[in-house]
Amino acid sequence: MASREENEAVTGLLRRSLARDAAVPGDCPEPEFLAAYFEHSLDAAETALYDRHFSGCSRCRAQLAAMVRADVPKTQSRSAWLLDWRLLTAAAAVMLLVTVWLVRKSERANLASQPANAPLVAVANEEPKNGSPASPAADRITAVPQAAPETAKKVQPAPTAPAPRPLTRDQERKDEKKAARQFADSNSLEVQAPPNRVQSAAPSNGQTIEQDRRLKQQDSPTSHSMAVGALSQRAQAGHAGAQQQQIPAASQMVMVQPSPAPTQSASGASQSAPVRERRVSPPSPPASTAAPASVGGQAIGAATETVTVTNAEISDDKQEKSQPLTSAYSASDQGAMLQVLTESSVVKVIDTPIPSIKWRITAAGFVERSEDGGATWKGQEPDPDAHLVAGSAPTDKVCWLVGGEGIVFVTKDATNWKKIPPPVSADLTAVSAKSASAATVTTADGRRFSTHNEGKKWKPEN
Amino acid sequence: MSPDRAPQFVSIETARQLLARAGVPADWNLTPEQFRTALQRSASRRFVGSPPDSKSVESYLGTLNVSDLALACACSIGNAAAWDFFVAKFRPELYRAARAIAGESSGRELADSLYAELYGLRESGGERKSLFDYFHGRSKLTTWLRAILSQRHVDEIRRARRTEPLEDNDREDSSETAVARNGTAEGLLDPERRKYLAILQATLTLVLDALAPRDRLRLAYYYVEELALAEIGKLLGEHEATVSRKLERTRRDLRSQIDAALRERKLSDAQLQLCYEYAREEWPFDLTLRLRSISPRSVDSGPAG
Repeated sequence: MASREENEAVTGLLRRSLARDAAVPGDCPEPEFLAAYFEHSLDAAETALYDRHFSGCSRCRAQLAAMVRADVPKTQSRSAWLLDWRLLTAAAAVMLLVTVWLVRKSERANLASQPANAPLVAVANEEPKNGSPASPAADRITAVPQAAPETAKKVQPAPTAPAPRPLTRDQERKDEKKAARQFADSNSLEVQAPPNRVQSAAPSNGQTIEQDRRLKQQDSPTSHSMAVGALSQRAQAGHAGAQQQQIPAASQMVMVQPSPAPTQSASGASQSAPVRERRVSPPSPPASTAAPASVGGQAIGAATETVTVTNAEISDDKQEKSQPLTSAYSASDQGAMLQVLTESSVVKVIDTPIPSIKWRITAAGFVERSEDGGATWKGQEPDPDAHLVAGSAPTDKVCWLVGGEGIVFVTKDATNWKKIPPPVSADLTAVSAKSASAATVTTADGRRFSTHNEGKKWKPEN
Repeated sequence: MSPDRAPQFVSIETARQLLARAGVPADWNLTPEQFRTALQRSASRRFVGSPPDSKSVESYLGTLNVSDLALACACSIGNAAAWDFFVAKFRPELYRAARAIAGESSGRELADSLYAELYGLRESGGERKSLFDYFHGRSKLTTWLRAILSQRHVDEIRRARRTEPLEDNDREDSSETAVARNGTAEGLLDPERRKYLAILQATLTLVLDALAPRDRLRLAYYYVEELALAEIGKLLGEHEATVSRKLERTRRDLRSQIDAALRERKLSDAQLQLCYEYAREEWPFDLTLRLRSISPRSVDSGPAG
């Protein structure tokens, strides 16, 4: 390829040579022919003749150049520019974009105005998001049509208790199963079969662990697994606070979070394995035994119900994470749920040394962890029966939790919780942790106990 | 040959039809006979030499701008109404074009002189002669006026810059002598340098002469007149993209032909490089003056000379 210098040389040569073209006297056409040539109104022979002359005549070329420079698009009408293909193409592209935008906007508006039986995504807590949009797995759930999160704030709770929907038993079970899975998926809840059950203290009243648990489930409304049905119950009762609520274990939902690979836990023990299966045996309600379980809050039938979610189902559900819940709930139910869930306020926020990582305890007894400074939260449940009130996180992975009846939990990997034997069977109101093995707890009456070996031994501080 | 003695190509009936087609106002008082004279004059200029057949004449007459021709004819005769019409419709454009071609003040003077000639202030043999007599309808009246303005302006520039003598000088001198005369002092002292430049110039001249007229015209418009691609396209009836593509192709072919011609002269690659190097050093300085002397674009807005 010719170099730049050579090209410049050729350019200079061309200019010099062409500029030396002489005008042949007498051969230059009169203005009449010049004008006709300019307008291309000469025939082919004449045009070729004058092409030949002009190519070698600097005078005629200069005249033609002057004419073309003085030529203005006066022949075009004032609106002729509108017909420029470039402008038309650009205008067409803009119109297309605007059309697409309007169509999408109307689609969104249609989705927002969907009726109440539109897919429901349950609400855990309402807290202003302050970060980037959450991943699907960590999406906060709202008890309103999923496609219109902004309308969630506008949903008002039902003023009166909704009439229960008559459902067949099978249909109820199916609805409950599906709702449970979808609730868990959308809420990113991780419910583990508390391996600490094995380590937990024996019930003090001599009952078996299972019996004790059942009784507690009857009494304690904090079971996470009762989320949807229990909340519906609460909505019906119209209670603002959830702590004292006595909610029968009506709808035993299995909330199973297909948690990440078991490799999260270094131990790899069964403790670290996420729950894949949980047997739920709802107790027989004191009322009518024949009444079918209903998401409207009616008691579930006396028959033991086992809800098992297999890994395959979990993985399938995970794939359908974006699928909204089926419309198993009426609009009033959904509104009530929203109200209850919204009113489930955060009890305690636990900061870690890393600002973006936080823990929090909700009034419903859930423990949630955020990795993005509180924009999104991932729920955990150390113990469905635990009534947690305080916590301390010396690192981003280590967190101590304390609560009523001497409950103490600790996690070292932000996932798996271990129940620590309390110093005393008293309500614990505060904890201050230094590491995964060292912490100081405070009882409701002000006593303080510290441990340096993960609760194997406690030492009173005052 | 005067129109009266020229072969009669246009019948009175044809003239009457064309006059009707022109839509001439009645107050112009233009008769078919007068219009026929104008048509005949136009056809005579077109078919100089060989008498055409009636079909060719009819075809030719069909391409004429009969409205403008009728106006010019009426103005040439001296009809006041036609002249008022011309003033109202064409005078603004005349002065605008003159200003665009020659600048503000020079353009006004140019337009004023042309305006007077159009009106017929000039007399020849006792007869009032109007420039309108030279309009034959082959183009629009506005384009014809612009052509006159351009021609007068360019001639004025060439006269003022004395570029005519340059053409005479170049025609007389050989390429080598011209290089020797126009070269720098350093070049004059270097015989090898002059030799290479002369060879290169001669080679380029040969190659340029072998170019197709349109290709050469395109190069000249671009490199000498410094017209934009769109302007060149307007002159040649091509899209500016076509102009660009053909320019590039012509230049590329030119370069390869120059290299081939130089190699035929047994020049080595190093000598080829020298040729171009000397050319780049030598002629850019010289060419600037040449461009100013020829291209009307660089003319100042004030009167030349």
